[in-house]
Amino acid sequence: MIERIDLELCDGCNLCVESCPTDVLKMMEVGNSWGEQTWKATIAYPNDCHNCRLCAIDCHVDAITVTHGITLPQPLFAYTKEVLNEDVTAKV
Amino acid sequence: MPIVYQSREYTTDVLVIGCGMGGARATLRAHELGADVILVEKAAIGRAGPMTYVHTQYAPPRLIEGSELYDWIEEMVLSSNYIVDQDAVKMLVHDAYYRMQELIDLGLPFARNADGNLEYFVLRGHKVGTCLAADGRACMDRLHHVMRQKPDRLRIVEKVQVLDLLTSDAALPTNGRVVGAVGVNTQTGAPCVFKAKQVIFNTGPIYPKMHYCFADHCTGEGHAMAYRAGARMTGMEFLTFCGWGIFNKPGEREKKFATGGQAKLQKIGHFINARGERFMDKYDPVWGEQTGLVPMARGIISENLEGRGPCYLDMRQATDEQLAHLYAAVPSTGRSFKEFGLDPHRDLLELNPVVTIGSQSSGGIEVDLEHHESTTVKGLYAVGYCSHNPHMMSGISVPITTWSNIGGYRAGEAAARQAPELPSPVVDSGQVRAALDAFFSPTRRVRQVRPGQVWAQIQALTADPPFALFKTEKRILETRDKLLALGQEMLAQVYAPDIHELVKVNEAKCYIQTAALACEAMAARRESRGELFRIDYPYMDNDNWLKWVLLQRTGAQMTPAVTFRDLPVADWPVKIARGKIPVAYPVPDRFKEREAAA
Repeated sequence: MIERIDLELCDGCNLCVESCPTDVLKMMEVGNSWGEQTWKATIAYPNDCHNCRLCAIDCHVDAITVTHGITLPQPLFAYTKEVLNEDVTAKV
Repeated sequence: MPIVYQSREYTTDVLVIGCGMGGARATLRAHELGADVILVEKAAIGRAGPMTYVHTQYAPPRLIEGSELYDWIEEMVLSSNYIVDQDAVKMLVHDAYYRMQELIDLGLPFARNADGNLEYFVLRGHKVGTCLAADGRACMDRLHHVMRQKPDRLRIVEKVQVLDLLTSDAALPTNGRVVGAVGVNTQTGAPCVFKAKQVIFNTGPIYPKMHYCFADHCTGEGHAMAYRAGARMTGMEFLTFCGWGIFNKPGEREKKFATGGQAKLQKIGHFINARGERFMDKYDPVWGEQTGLVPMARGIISENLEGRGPCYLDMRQATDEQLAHLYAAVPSTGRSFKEFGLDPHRDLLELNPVVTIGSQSSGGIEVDLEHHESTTVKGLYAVGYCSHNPHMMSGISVPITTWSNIGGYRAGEAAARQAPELPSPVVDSGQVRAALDAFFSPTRRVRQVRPGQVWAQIQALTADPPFALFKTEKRILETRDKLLALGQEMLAQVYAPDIHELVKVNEAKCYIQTAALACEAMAARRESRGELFRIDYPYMDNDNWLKWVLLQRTGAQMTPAVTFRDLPVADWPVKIARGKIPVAYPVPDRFKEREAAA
């Protein structure tokens, strides 16, 4: 899933927010130590990331890191050896 | 005191909802014929739906005619478990040539060989059918560019979720016609009202937000909206998603990655169980390891059930050349291997199958192919995944993008041609208000069930192994009732603090309605075919079940009336053997014993 956005690199262009199909990213006003206010992209709803990488592909300064390790919704991936042999046969 | 909604109003001839291949083609064709068009998309154009991961499109290299046409139709009939509209397949094969040529002329980046000629290749599971490879996202970027070149009469509205259709009699289901739709901006919450003479749906497939297939935002809103408006639904019993292309990080099983390019992995790897045996020939004697997604997932699950799991993808014998070809075709797979420290020459990849209610091939809004994809609701057309695709592909190879391409073109044409004769759309403000009130009501609740919890419940219900793997009439109806209860109870309590969460609530509502319909149709079809497997009817019944199950809402109640329509197989070129064909699917002894005891 989406891991981080490098705020040093992010120039607040909004492209990633536009391209995210599941509305994970939002623009946020942040201040630096000089007291300036700038707009940066932030990860607002990380759990809704479905790993499509469109944000990383569209980012023109390469500020977004997406890793392949996603935590898939547990109930959907219950057909492992352990679950099928124990839980399921107990359930049915 | 009632809330006053400041809606932004749009008026147009043709409203296209959803933009994949079909939406873009409908928009361009309707515009070409002189109609005023609005294209509305929940996400962004080229950044939505299956087109973000599509890699191949069904494409005949020349116009297929005469005796050759029979071969092209026959292979589709066979790979579709016989339940296919052969007239539709004929149209698909015929029109595909022209529609794909137009896309090539529009400059879509289809793969070419060293001589600069288009590289046609045969699809997995096919003998003659060919396709062209292209990155779906790049295709959509090109179509987006073409649309942006037409500033007059073509407006694009992005980041707007459509909530409901508006009808001339202000009723759902309607006896009149569709006159537009009401939506909400997913960023600002601003309501939008679209007044349109014709509406074309291209709202995509349905998935239970499984973080897989890159389509968590495709949750069946089109299916649900059309059903609520009274459209007839067909093939809903085949809404079962089966997949297996999910791998664990070694040592960290909760970390997983999902990969595309499964056909390629099947070509270069072997599937083995924990004992090191290759098992797929047992489950599919014809295709073996080259079988479709559905039998593949079932085979893996069966091995797990019988205690021979976990199963692995074994690519240790693959040559460097084969792996290089895989990484070139599906770059993300190579990157995942690297990130997870997986060496296919050294490591076995553990397989994680999934079965749930979702789109694999077909099932959706019934369309009348003689009348250009029009639905049973006047003024509403449907194309692509949300429509019923009369060729059921069972995951062997899916010419859905080309089907959407053809359907979009035809629907856009019909909608634009009829538009001048239709009256100006008049929208009922009460109907707009009702849809918006229902959408915004979760902001005004105190009890705090969050949308994420609703989705977790949906996932648990639809992927519950006894339901997903061993369907019986009792279990199917139980799941339907549980889904409907979830819809009534949890959605009445759900609290959404912002527009992002509100959108998720509406998505959950639509998914539940569509999934309940799927259960209804599964219970009605008393046989096993394609994606549908029932242990109480473990055979394909060509004597009694060469017919479609039709669902339609008749009154204010959401419960559908179930009817059937026979396939006119006698009139079609490819003859189908009658009789009952057993569907191989082992049910473990332990399961049978419990079933007998119960």
